[in-house]
Amino acid sequence: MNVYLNGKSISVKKGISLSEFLEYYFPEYYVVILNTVLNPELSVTLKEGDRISAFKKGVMPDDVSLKDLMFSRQPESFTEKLQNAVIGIAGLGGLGSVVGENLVRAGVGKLVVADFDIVEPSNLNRQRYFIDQIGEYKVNAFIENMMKVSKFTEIEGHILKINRENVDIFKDCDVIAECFDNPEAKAELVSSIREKFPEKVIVAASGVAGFNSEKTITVQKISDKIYIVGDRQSEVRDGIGLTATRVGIAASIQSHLIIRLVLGLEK
Amino acid sequence: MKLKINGEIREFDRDIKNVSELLEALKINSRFVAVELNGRVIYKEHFEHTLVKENDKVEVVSFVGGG
Repeated sequence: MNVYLNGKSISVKKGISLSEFLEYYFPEYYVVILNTVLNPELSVTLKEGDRISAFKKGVMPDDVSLKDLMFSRQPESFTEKLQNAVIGIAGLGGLGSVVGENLVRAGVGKLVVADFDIVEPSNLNRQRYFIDQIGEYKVNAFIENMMKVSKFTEIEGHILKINRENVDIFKDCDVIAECFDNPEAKAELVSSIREKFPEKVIVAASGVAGFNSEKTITVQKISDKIYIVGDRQSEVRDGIGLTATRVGIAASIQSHLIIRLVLGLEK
Repeated sequence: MKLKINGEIREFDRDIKNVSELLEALKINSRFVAVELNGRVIYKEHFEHTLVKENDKVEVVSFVGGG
C-alpha cells in the first residue's frame, strides 16, 4: 500500500505501525503529524493513503516537503481546492491586509490585490505592515510580506484606485473581498462587480469601527452573491476609531466565509 | 405603494417616483449605496432619473465607512 511522507508517495507493507515507519524512513524526526493530528499515537497501524508529515529540527525542507508540512494541519482535499482558487481583494488596509494574509496562510492559489495607497504610520495600529515599510505602496509591502509567509500563493498586484472602468482586473476571481475604508468606494465596487460580473460572489464589510462588542459583528447574506460582514452601523466618526481587534474580527470572518465558499461549505 | 426590497415586500404610504425618493424614504445616504432595480445596476448619478413603479424589485446594499 501507499502512504505519503512529506508529500511524497512511499510504498510500505500492510500492517506497519507509525513508529516502525518512522524508525525506517525518518528516524531523525522532531515533530510528526498524521492526517492533520499533531503528536499522534505512534503505535497506530498505518492505512492506505495516510498522510505523514515529519519535521527534523533545524533543517529547511525542500519545496515539496515544505508545502506538505505547511498545510499538514488542514485536510489535504481542502488545500487542493484552495490551491485552485483565485480570490480578489479590493483594498489592502485593516481589512484587506488581514484577509490576504489569512488566505495566503490557508493556501489559496492566487490572489489579485489592488490598492492605490502607501503605508502610513497611522496604519500600523491594525494593518499588517511594518515600520520600515512606511512610504511603500501597500501592494508592494503586502507582496513582500507574503513572500515571507508562503511560496504557494501567486499574488497579482495592482497599484490603482478601483473604479467601474478598471474592475476587470478581478475577471478571473471566484470571489471578491471588498476591503475598502471609504463607503463611497465600497458602494461603487459592489455596483460595478454586479454590473460586469453578476456571477461572482462579493464578500463586503460594513460597520467595523469602534469598540462595540465583538458579538455584534455578523454576516448578512443579501443574496447568493452578496454577503456583508460587520454590524452595518458603526462608522468612522469623531471619537470612534478603528482597532486591530474589531476590524481584524471582521476581516477574519470575511476570509473564513471566502474559504467556506471555495470549499463549497456555504449554502 | 408596494415594492420588494431585498426580498421583502414593503408598503410605502406615499408614491415613490424614483430611486432617489426611495432611498430618502429608507433613510439611506445615496452616496454610500449599491442599488439594483429589477436586476439592473443603477449607479448613483442615475438615481434621480431612474423611475420606480409598483411591485418593482429593488436590491439595496448600503455601507458605512471604516476598514
